[in-house]
Amino acid sequence: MDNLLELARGPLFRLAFALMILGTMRQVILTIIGYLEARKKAGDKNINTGGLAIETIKWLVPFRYVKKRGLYSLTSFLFHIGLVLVPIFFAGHIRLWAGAIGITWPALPGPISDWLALLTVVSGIGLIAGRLWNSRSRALSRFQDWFFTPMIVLVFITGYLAAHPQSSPIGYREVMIVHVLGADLIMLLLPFSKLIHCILLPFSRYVNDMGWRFVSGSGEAVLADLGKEGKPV
Amino acid sequence: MADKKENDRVSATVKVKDLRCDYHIEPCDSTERPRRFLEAFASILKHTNYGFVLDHFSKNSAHCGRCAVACPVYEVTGRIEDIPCRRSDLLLQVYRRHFTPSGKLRARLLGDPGLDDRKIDEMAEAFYRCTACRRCNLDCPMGLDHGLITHLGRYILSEIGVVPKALVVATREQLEGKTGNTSGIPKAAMLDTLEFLEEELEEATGKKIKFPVDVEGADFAFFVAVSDYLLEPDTLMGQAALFHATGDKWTIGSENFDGINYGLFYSDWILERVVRREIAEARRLKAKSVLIGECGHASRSAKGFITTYSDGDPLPVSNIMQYTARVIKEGRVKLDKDKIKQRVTYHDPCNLARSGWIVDEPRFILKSFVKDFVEMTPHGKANYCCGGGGGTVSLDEIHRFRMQVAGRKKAEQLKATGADIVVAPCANCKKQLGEIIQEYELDMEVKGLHDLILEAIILD
Ligand code: SF4
Repeated sequence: MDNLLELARGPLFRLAFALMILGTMRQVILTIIGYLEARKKAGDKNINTGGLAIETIKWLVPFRYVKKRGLYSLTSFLFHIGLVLVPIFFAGHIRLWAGAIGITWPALPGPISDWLALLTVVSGIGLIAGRLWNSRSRALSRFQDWFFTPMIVLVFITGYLAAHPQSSPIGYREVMIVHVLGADLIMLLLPFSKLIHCILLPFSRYVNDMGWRFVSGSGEAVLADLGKEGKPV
Repeated sequence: MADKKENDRVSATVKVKDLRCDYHIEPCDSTERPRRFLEAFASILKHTNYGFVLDHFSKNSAHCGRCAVACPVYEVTGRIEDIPCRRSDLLLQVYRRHFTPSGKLRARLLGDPGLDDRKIDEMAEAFYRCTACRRCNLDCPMGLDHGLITHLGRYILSEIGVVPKALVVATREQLEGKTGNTSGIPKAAMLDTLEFLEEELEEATGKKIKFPVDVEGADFAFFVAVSDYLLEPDTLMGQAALFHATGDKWTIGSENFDGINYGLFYSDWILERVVRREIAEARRLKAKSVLIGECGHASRSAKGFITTYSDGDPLPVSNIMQYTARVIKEGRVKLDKDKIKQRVTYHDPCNLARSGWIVDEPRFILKSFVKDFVEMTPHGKANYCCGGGGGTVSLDEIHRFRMQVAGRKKAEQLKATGADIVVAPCANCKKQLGEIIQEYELDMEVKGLHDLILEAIILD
């Protein structure tokens, strides 16, 4: 048991973390290179860089979009706050990061991480329920949509229990093993799944904007490829 | 009352949910469609930026389903297949399966045979149920644009001959026909029309107002949706009267007077050829800029693509409403505030408003002389498509679909305003709204913005 925990916390954690960093770096670099290449090809290079940045930032503020599907939007927003903040700013994690990468940063006060974690758990359960309940959402869901939210909720519950051993119905070690293994798995899968949106979000509107920037002569080149040069309409 | 009637009419035939969007296509080679589709797809990916965008979409789409609340088609049918990200996924699946290493590997492991005729048929309908209005784009937290995927899907389909006949026929006349425009209006007939309109104007205003043709070096080379020459004389006369009042130099080109560009709806090479003709005409006229009439897609295809296809030194592009708003602001035209007594509302064409490009100008213009102006809810950037967007308005065979599905939200919006006049500054929207008004028996009239200007302008 102890060995497993040590494995999960030590080598496995380091492996998952390293792969996550490398994997996301690869995705970011590919996106940037792809963007620059696309920009080079695009016939119209007047890009409203600032405007797109503002749009991106506006979407991080929930008040703008809770008007429609309010409950869902709010739940999703609450889910994401804890999800982003607790792994990075919970004091216990910072100690762990310090051990792994050697740097530290200020931590969130204990009660705040507690509340954020609970919020993520509750809203996460809400999101799962919503997906189950709504036939449209069910139809839209792929395997990874069913997999990650419960996984995240599980990691957050066990994380909370690990931080409050006195209120835990199960032993600290068991809790920790589930917590750490779960977190390792999520980190490992992050670059290869929809979770990558947490890193690529800032690029998203730029990529999308590039979509409508066509390449001069591309249509005729396609016709040539297909053996239809100068094809009448 | 009216509500009940509508419901009766719908249930008497098919349920709204089951209304199909079946359009006519020209006879074409129907063998080996999957192979030819993939060939075209591969070539398009090679020469364009779509691949980069598809890749990003595939990785990031969280399938959160928020876009569903934005789509007027889905709102009416409630069919899962009409959810924007679900529709886009039809094409993304093909992309992943055939053009990404992981997709190919997966297919080998699972024995997935890949694209087949059934999937092609599914896309063929799905991408024309979508009016490419891009409303869903506003509701995507990642800013993904399903309208772009629809455009690409239609483009690839068109390369294997799956494209609405009505669009192809019009474009063929424009690019290869004798008349060089989508409505097939001969140059002589167009010049006759202008002469006739000048007489009408003189009768109405007592002034000699010109429609300048082929004047070199004008500030504006003017293009409208060519159908305006047949159907919208008041809009044209309003524009001419406005230029008469300001004295700015504008001109219509006799070699090419059609701003319509169906390429925006289904094909990049058609888009490019049409834009290049427009550029050539403006250059021939030595115009300082390109000015597009009220029409939405004509404006967007010029604004969005003249720079792309100009090979350097692009001419500036603007829409007539920007011009009109400016000259009103500068006090260069006078409008009679007591002329328009009816209640007026304004329909935002998607191609003008969705990106936030032209939203304030028409409101500024209308409020400057219309006393009873009401807004639709929602309006501006978030306005509902008329239901005939993306070229679908030209497809008479899907009239029922346009009326009962794509345009239903618009009909509800129109009714709620209680307006007497709906100003729709777009040839496509005008046609669709006119049909909606008939179908839903609304007591309302569709007009262009400059029709009202014509009524109210004071010429001295
Ligand atoms: S572009 Fe318009 S019609 Fe098409 S999916 Fe989006 S909201 Fe629906």
